[in-house]
Amino acid sequence: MALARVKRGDAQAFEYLYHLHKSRVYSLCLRMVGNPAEAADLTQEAFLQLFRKVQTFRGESAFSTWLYRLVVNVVLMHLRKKGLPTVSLEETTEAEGEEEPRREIGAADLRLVGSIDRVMLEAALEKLPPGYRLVFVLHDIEGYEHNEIAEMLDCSIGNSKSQLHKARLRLRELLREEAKKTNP
Amino acid sequence: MITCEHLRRILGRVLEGEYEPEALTHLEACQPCRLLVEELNVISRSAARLPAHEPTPALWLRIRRAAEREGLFAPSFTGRLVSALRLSQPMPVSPLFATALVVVLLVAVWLVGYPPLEVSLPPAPPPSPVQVAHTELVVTPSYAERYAIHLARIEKTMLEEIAPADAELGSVAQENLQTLDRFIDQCQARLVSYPEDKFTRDELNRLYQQKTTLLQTMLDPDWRTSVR
Amino acid sequence: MRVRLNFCLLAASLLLPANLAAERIERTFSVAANVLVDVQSHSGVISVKSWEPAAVRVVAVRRSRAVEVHVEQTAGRVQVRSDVVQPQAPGGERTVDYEIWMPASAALYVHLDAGRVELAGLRGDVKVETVAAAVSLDDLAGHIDVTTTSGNVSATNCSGRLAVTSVSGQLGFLALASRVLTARTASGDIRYEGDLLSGGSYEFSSHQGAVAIILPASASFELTARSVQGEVSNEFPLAPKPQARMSTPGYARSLLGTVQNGAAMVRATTFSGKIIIQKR
Repeated sequence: MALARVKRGDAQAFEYLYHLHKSRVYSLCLRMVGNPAEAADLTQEAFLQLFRKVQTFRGESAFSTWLYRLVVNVVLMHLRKKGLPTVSLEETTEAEGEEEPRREIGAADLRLVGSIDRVMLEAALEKLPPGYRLVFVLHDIEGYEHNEIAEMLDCSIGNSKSQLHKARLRLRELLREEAKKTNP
Repeated sequence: MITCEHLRRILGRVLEGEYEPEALTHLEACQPCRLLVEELNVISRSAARLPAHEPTPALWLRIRRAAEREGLFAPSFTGRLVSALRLSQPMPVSPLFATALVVVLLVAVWLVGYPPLEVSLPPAPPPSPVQVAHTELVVTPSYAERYAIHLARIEKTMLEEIAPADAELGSVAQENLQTLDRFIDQCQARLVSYPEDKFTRDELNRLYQQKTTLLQTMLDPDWRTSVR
Repeated sequence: MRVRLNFCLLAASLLLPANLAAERIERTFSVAANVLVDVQSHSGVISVKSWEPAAVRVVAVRRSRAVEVHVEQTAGRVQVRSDVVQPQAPGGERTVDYEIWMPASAALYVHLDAGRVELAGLRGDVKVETVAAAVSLDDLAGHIDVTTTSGNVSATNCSGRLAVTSVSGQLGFLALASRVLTARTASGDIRYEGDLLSGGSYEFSSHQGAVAIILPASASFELTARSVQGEVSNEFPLAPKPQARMSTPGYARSLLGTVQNGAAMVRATTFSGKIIIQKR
């Protein structure tokens, strides 16, 4: 019902939709750009695009999936404008140069920690390449399934899975390095 | 058996649920690879618990003004009225007529523009019983702490009152109670990190049942009579 | 009809020296085949066997007057009790050893704090509760329910449904023909050696103790083995279940799959104990 009123240009319905989705949209933007001011700009642009394009939403997918596709496009365009390297989402699933797992003497054992400190994880997330970071945020943080992510990012399900796996492996390396610094 | 390198190549598929029996066989036997899998799981689970970030309240005002400037919102009745009454070109009018027109316009705006029509939006659904329980037991730990303290007091009283005359039996009961308490603590500690771990929750329930049975045995009048 | 047979030694014991050597008491009652025999004692050995006659025979040997023995027959029930009347007496003097014979189809309830329970050849339902007493079951059928705190439990050649729970006792099962077995201990170990019945359900759970399941090479079963922190090892060729996911949260080590055609169901779970599935 709110969507129908939004399509009619109802300002209060717009506001309702905004408050419903603002946290997730802003969180995604912030985790992608790492800067609150930029994240606010991107959030604004994303919602304005929503308001501009809402007439074109026909209900072929869930509204949140459609919205997130908008947000992802806004974010990616912003990153390209900034000249930041974005990992192509069309990469193959082959692992590249990954080390053999081995018992590293003295290396921090994440398993023993039980769960990872939130600040450490957010810091490691900022260091992930944007392509890996995007899929990781959408899947592991926001809880989207690979078929939804593939639709948002206009890639294959296989690529979404591959990017996610690489993201987790890279995060593991980053977290181990950080843990070594704090527990030498 | 496949090598660790091979496992790393197919691990992504295995973690997504694809059927790879060789991978499972390798993981059974290879501790470093098992550690890798568990660490990836820890990362995934920790990410799921990251909180959402909130934008500042001022952001909505910015968005609304920008949307209004673009004309994305349908104008209000007041706006439409003012537009309709706006003349295409200025006309020479007498000051008296102009004043009267302004007064009429102001009265009309006041009559129809205030208060604005309330548009009722769907109310937020009430929290489910699961959400309430989660809030009380997890988000508000004082509830669980209060419960734990109360139970500990009961147990202490029970143990003091029913101290059996047979010291050996008493110490058997005491040692086993301590064993169960230790295991209960282990499960509870695990559930702090992995609240969705159903297996540990089931184990915790089994331990509670065993503890209850043991306490009931100690409270059984026949048992106490037999050692008096 | 209530026939109360007071224990004659209660009166006789007043005439005898306090530090009496072991006294033997025998009582025999005619009973129906579905009689309930209810035995409650503090310490000693309780041995119960089946026999052909429609009767219950109780032979009690008490070490001293520190404990009284009561044997009664009421309608449908034979009650055997030891009451400690001098709790300050040394442990050995508070002991009563029982030998009981009863019809195979009779039901049995035993409560013993310390000592040993030995049951053989019974076909009726059995419930045993002990604190520190060990329990030995040989050739039992029916519903068998055993609960101990620290007493070890061993079951051999039993059939029917078997449920054994202990806090710290060791549980051992050998050559069972039971279709339903549930074995649970918190800190003790569990060992199962024998075959599995087709359609049977076998559940083993320990918190800290090891679970060892030793089966013939021809065993056919569907396996669910899970541990949070313990090692899981298996010698049988296992066809993993398609939905087995290592990313399933909650257990770091798990094996889910089918051996042969999965005729029986085997479930082994520990928190930190080892799980070993071995070929005999």
